[in-house]
Amino acid sequence: MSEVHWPQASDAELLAATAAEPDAFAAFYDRYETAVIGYLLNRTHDIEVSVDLASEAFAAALASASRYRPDRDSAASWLFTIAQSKLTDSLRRGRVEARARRRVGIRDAVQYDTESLDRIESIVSQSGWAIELLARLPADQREAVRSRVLDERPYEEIARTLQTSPLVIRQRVSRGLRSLRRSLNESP
Amino acid sequence: MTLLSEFREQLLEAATDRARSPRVSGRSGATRREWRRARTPIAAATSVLVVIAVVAVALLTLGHAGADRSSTPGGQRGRAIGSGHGGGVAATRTQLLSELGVLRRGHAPARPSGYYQHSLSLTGPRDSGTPPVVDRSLVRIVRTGGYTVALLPATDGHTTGLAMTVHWPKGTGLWNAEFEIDDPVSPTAIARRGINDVEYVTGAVNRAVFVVPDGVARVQLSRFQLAHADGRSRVTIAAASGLVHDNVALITLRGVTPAAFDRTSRTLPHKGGIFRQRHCRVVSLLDFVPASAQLTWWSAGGNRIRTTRIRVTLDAYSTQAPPNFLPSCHPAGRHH
Repeated sequence: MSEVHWPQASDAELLAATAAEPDAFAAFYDRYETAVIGYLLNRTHDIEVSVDLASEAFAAALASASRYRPDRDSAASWLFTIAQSKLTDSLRRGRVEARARRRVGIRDAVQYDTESLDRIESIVSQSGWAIELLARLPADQREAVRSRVLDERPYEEIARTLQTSPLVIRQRVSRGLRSLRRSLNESP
Repeated sequence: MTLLSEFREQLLEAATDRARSPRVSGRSGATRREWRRARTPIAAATSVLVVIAVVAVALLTLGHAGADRSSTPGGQRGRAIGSGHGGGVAATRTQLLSELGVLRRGHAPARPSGYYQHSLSLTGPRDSGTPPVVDRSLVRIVRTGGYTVALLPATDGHTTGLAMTVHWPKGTGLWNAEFEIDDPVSPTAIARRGINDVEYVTGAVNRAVFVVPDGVARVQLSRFQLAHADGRSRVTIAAASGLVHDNVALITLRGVTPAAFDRTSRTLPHKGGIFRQRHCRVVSLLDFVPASAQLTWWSAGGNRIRTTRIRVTLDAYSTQAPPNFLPSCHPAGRHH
């Protein structure tokens, strides 16, 4: 499968293909980068720590992608569980580990200057917890709900961007909102 | 847009190294095979689903031939239709016809158009699983109080029953999401608690659309409680009721606001609410609130037919945060 197809692949397909196709994991990373940083930021309230933890979580996800089982959990839940685990570890140890990054061969930690961190925090904060929640939706519904509900773009404009009809976008928004409601009802 | 572009590059490089390395290549090959295998069952599963869908359509069509007899004027209500194979779907169809008078009266437009067509298009593939197969001959459209409700007898591979779509009046509903859909609900469940869909309308108003069985003239909702205890469990939403027209009732619920549920910056995100903020100020806040309510069905003579507790999800939307809601960037709103 060439790179151009990855955006259409499901999360499970991306993770299953990761060991053979590195670009698949890059596509998976792109889908969840903001969501994972946002998730961690809402718990640590420290953007630097959140970025560090997110990096460690994605490295751990890369290392264990082949062990992901789609029949047990959604990829989003699996990833957020890893992120939560990294957060818990860091609280217990009092520092963010770099073990997973070393394990996959990442030796040099990226240093972000204050300006970059502020920019990242601003982007992630503006979307609030919504991103974390939306991340659990299928990609097509996520985009539709995000565009319509958070960005308040007209249906017609979203349809043009996504090259489909306004009816389909309405349908995705409707289903996305319904899925969110359902997930709430199913939560303990 | 990538936030951590340098890290992404490192990660991609690491993924590439892992794919190339001899230690991982065995796993890589295995995974590739696994992935291919994963696609084969998908293709096989798709074939199975197509076969199931074709069989379901055939069964519904068989059932239809029999049910048309019972839906003609003077036809026998609830008469068993179909025999041998397809008895399950046919029996469900019979139950639906027996429960819902609206299905026995008249037919949907012979030439699908407008809303009817939209409703059918909404029953396409779901998030996952089998797309519902609709028995088009039994689709009924009920128009009441500005709402258009499509009743869609359907089977989705798990449940055979009645699905519902609701077309909200223009200018109401969340972001004019005009169409709402539901999975099929079995006749047994309809007899117990009907089908309901509660949606935000405007301001502090939600509206419930109910499909109820024959004999119910008025539907009442009261004694709202939060489904998950997080402080106050009782919600101060007044009891409300609506009259039934063609098995459909509309109930207006007032006082549904984020403040009514006592949400705080601590509880809202954990309960799945979403909000948008700019410069530490909440500019819009939406809270899907799982709740329960006492449902009472009344007959035309004012007799209570049934009382049961049902789950509903209320939509609280506001462009102003409740008094105790502090954005995440506010020092007092920070928490671990």
